[in-house]
This record gives sequence, C-alpha cells and structure tokens, in this order.
Amino acid sequence: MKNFTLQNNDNTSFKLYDYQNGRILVLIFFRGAWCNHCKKHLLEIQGKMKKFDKLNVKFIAISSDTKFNSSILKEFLKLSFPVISDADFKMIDYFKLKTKYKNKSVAKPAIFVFSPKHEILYQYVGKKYDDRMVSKEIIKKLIKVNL
Amino acid sequence: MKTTKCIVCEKKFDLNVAISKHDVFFCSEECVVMYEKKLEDIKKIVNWDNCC
Repeated sequence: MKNFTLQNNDNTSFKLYDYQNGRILVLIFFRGAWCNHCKKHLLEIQGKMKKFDKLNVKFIAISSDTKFNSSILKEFLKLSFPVISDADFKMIDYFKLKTKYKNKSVAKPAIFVFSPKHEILYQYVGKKYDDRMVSKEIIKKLIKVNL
Repeated sequence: MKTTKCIVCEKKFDLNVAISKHDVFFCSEECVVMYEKKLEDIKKIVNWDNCC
C-alpha cells in the first residue's frame, strides 16, 4: 500500500504509515455523507470501537465528499476515527473504487484491511450500494488472518 | 505567517486568528453558525431508511 499523505479536515497533514503506527489498519470507503446506508455502517463500526481498540485496529473512513461534509459527518456521528475527504479521487482511484451514482462519481462501499507492515490482508468491495461488511464480519476476518 | 482554510467558506487566512471548534478551523463566527446549523439540520432527519 502506498504511503499516502492525507489531510485532516483542519488541513493538517499526516502520513498513512505514521497513523497506522505498527497496528492493523482498516480503510472504510463510503459513498458520502448523504448516503444513509453509509451513515448506518459507520455508526455500527463506531459502536464496536472498544472491541476494535482491544484488537489494536485503527480506522480511517474515506469518501469523495468535501472536507465540510466529511467534518459534519464525523461530528454528527461522533466518530472517533478520521473521516477523510478524497475529493480528487487519489485514493479512490488507487484502490479502483470509482463508480457512478446518479451521474456523480463516488466511491464504491469497501473495506481494506492492512497488516502492520502495510500488506493487504483482506478486502471487501460491496456489490451494490447497501452491501457492507459489518463489524462482526470484520472481526471474524481479523481473527482468521491471525491478528 | 501560517495560514489555514475555513471549513465553511474555504477562505485562506492566518491560523493565529482562527476559531477552532469541532476539530476544524473557522474564519468567523458567521461560518461557525452556518456549520452548526448544518449539524442541527442533519440531526432533524430521523428516518434514515430513505436512501438511494
């Protein structure tokens, strides 16, 4: 996985590997703050954050939303992990997740799990807009890949 | 001078005079009000089952 430089919604930058800091990293790609399935999914994952913290897993949520919408979403859902704006589709294109919804380019809903050495352990790309990998399934996969 | 961008109006401005709230920076109280109004508007949507 490429060591992307990401921008928080306050315009401070950070490197992906620095954020990961030797832990398992889960990237959650979602369509946007307007998508109710996406909001439900993110909230569901946030609800299991204590479990994920015990498993030493870090999360980043990414969409093509603006920083404003990404920030609003993070505040509204009280998410404890970064919600990153990839409005220029750098990461979305890198992971080949760009798709169209009502003539607008968005990311397909997807989960990518990376080892502490940044190797991909598992990926799941939703087959349609409401196809998501929930926390229980993510945890099962993490245990299966010998977390 | 270190600059940043207002999350609402995207204006570039001096970080020293930024209003820091909600983990982002605002250039003015007006922009803070607009942001918080948007947050309130989203909270009013109770039915999340309408989508897509």
